[in-house]
Amino acid sequence: MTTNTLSNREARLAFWMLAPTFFIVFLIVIFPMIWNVWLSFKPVGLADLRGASLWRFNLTLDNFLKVFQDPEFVTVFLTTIFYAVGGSLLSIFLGLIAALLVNREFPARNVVRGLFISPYIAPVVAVTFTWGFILDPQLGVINWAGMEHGLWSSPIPFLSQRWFEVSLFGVAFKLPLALTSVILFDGWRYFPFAFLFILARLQAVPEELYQASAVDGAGPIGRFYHITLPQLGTVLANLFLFRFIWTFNKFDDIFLLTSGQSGTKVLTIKVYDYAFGEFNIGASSAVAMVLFVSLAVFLIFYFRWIVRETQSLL
Amino acid sequence: MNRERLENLIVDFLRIAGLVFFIVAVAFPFYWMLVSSFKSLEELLMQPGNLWIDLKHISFNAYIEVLFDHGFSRYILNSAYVSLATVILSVALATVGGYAVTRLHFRGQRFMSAGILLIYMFPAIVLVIPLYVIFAKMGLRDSIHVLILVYLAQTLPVALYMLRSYFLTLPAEMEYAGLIDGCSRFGVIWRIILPLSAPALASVALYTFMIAWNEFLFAFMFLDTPENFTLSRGVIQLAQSVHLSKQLVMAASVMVTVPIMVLFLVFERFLVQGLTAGATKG
Amino acid sequence: MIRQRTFIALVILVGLFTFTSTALAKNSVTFWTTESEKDRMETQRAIARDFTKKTGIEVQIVPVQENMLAEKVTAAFAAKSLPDVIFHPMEYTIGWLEAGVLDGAAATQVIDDLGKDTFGAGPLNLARAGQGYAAVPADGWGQLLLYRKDLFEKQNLPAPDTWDKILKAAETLHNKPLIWGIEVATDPGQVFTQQVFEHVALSNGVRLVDKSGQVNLNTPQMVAALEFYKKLAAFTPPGNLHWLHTRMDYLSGRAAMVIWSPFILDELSGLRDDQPVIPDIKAKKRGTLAHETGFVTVIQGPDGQAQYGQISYLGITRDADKAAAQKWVAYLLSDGYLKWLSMAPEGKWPLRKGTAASPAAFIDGWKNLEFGKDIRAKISEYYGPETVKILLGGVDRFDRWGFAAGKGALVSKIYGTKVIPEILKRMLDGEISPAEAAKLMDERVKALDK
Repeated sequence: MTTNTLSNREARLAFWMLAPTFFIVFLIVIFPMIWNVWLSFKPVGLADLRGASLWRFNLTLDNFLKVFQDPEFVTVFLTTIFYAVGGSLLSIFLGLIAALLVNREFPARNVVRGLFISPYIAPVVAVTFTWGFILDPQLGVINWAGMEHGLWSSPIPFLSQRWFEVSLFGVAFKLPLALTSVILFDGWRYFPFAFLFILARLQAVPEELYQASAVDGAGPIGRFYHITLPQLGTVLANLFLFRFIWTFNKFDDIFLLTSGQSGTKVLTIKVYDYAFGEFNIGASSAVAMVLFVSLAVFLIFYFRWIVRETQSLL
Repeated sequence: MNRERLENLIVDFLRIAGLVFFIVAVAFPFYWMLVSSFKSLEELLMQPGNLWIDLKHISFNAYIEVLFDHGFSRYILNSAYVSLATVILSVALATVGGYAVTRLHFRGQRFMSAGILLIYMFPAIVLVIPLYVIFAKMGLRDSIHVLILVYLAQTLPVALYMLRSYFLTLPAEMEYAGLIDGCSRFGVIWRIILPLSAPALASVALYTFMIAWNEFLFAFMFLDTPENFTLSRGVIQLAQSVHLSKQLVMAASVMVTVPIMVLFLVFERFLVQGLTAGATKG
Repeated sequence: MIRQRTFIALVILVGLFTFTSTALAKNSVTFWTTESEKDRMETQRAIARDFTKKTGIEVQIVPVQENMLAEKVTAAFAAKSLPDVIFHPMEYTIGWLEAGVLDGAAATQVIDDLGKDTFGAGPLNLARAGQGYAAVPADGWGQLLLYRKDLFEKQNLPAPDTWDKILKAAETLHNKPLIWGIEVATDPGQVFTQQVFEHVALSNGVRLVDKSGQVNLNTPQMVAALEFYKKLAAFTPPGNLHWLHTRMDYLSGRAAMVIWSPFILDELSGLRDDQPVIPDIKAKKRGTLAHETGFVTVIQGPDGQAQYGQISYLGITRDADKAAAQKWVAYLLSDGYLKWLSMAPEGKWPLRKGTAASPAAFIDGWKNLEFGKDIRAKISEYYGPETVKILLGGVDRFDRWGFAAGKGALVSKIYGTKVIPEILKRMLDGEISPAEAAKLMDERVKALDK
């Protein structure tokens, strides 16, 4: 019985080839996750950061109590969901339109395709500060243009006002202004992601399908509805999944645009606020756990729903 | 004019209008960033609506000030160092790891690809606070080398996944030929896999560079001393300073954006290929 | 493989280097300062050089941006690598003492050595902790309401030192968009908004803590203060305004009144080329606007009167080399004091009045300090001895929420989370009424206190 078989050697080699990656990912991702769970059950204030108090078994549910009893917890949670759903849907919708626009051949198509990806690859600090500047009530070009052309009479603080009275078709309602602005920004910044994937899928659709339907007398709208959309089904579902998860977890964009003010406070901002506004690391970890668990629950429901849908189709 | 021709006409019109709208919406902020960086503060305050630059009054002062008075010449070096180090290490580790997952047989191999992507779903903010506490206690916080470690952790899973997808498309016979000839596995990687994988490697390199260069959250939380700042950290330092000057922030933003845009333009094809590697499989 | 080893070696090396470099810093003082601008750094280094000449102790001056101070101290505290001395705003002082960041005994010793009576009573009181003090008062300022004397005179308006007078003046002079009646802070993300609002609230006797020692913000005085602030905000441009905008507007002649810290005095004087003062440019004379500006320190509301004071302290940390740290702090408050204040005398008022030998040495010395950037002038000459008297008169009566009542740590959280400006903005936007806002502020602050 040889232990040095080819398969054993291979396994060992695979182990060593993957070891550095495992080690780094464990150190930076797995270990802090576990550590976060630990911290969420302990009282950790500024004074506890020093010395051995972090290792003691003084576990408590106080952090979670504080988080759930926080007067703004429900608002923050709902805002997070609204932001994640709105941002995802918008970016996918825009990505779909952009992909349809670019699908056909036209001059400088490659340039346009390259241009469309810029919002996604540009550094987050650059785009957020630029948009903040463009939307500024006093110094921004959009407010200046709006007032110059008589669209509105006093500057609209897009990123700093919570509610905005709007009347559409005679119905007046309150628009959550800052939150809407942030969702619009999200759509602008992340539509290239959806755009690329949808475009790739569109270009893989066999031309014959379109030709066949043209013979059948279907116009462009009919073609879109009956051929293109079904082909995109999986891509769109996957895109929504990814975008929802990533938007749910987003911190940078909102932090840089509004610092979570004026109705844009999401769970990730709460994590930061507890840690560096109140110096309560325990509560901060607890909110992070709530964030993570909510996402996990969503994923479970989503996959169950997907499985049920695909089973019903079979 | 039958219905189909009318529909086609409307669709064509919408297509052109749509393209124009998208092009303007995408390009305008970048245009504005660029133009504002060449104006003086008075101009920005007095004429917020001026869409053009007066070529006679074009001013490079913002760039000079940002580079020399606000330390950005140092930040550029730091960002370049961090990004390049991350790229080199990430490509190396992902190539080796991706090969292992593709070609070698071991327990748990099938679990790999799902596991890798699962890790990618963890929110960064959940990791930041514990890492902050641990690194602070170890005194390792204010260091760009720690940043490299963090960026590796963020890019390795996806890099590994991308390379694995690509490696699966490579015929295994060439490697077997090499192995029979007496090459070690590493020799096979070096001599056969790497040359064949140039496009995928370029994708991974570009993707990793983008993540490392653009990264904000960890740079913001971990770096204290201006000497260690990356560009992202430097821009927010500038934006939060007491004497706010928009043209400086715009100039700094241009400086962060241009390198990644240029890289992207040059290697665009590879990035697109890499990102959509799995998409066409439905 | 080789690359990995190099990398791991690098990480270890970096760790070792960080460790040894902090361990090797003996007989030197590490000084963290929020005065991070280039010219102020130069001044501090000059003071340090003189100190080294006198005592042989090296001083390392480390600049820290004020909004990053809390994070940096938190991290250093966790790593047991705090600096020796920290110059910081009072929001953190008590909280840090309670968490074990600061060494109150060391600070108390310095105050005793220098002489308790040489300090202003107010600033010392606000840092009281047990039998001693948490840190040593360094400098500070009282918030001002600036108003256009010339416009007031034209309309026969009296100086705006009561609520009624302020409101009447704002109404009379308001003529948007040419000139706004009064510009108050409305940005919910800025500490400045808290400062301006607290100034107004304090003037109506609003306190954080009631007579029984409980936190109570839901009082009729608070509701009245919120209503008053809302009325003032009607005369302020829309959007999120903070110090940048209100200063800009006053200096452009677009505001009749503004509440600001005295740091505005150097820009107001027209002595800075990077801050154009429009009325000066129009009149072709520097100092036009400055001479047409009147100052109100203490505002009187229906139920009280007060002036918001901001004090910065020098704290000695628990990781410090005590003797060296104490020597540096004592030096900064004696031989180096006038030079320290000279960094920005308009906003750095002397909180140590003098020495035992000459009890008014620093106050007199301060009056002769020059301010301004491109052109320098003395405060007493430029603004006149009357103004200086008004400015310095209120130092002993500087007021703040929570400090003298032992709630200093809660104050750090209030400032850190910006909960007051957030609720204030919602009220200003009409989302909640002043009564609801007072109740909400009370709830949220109580939640922070747990």
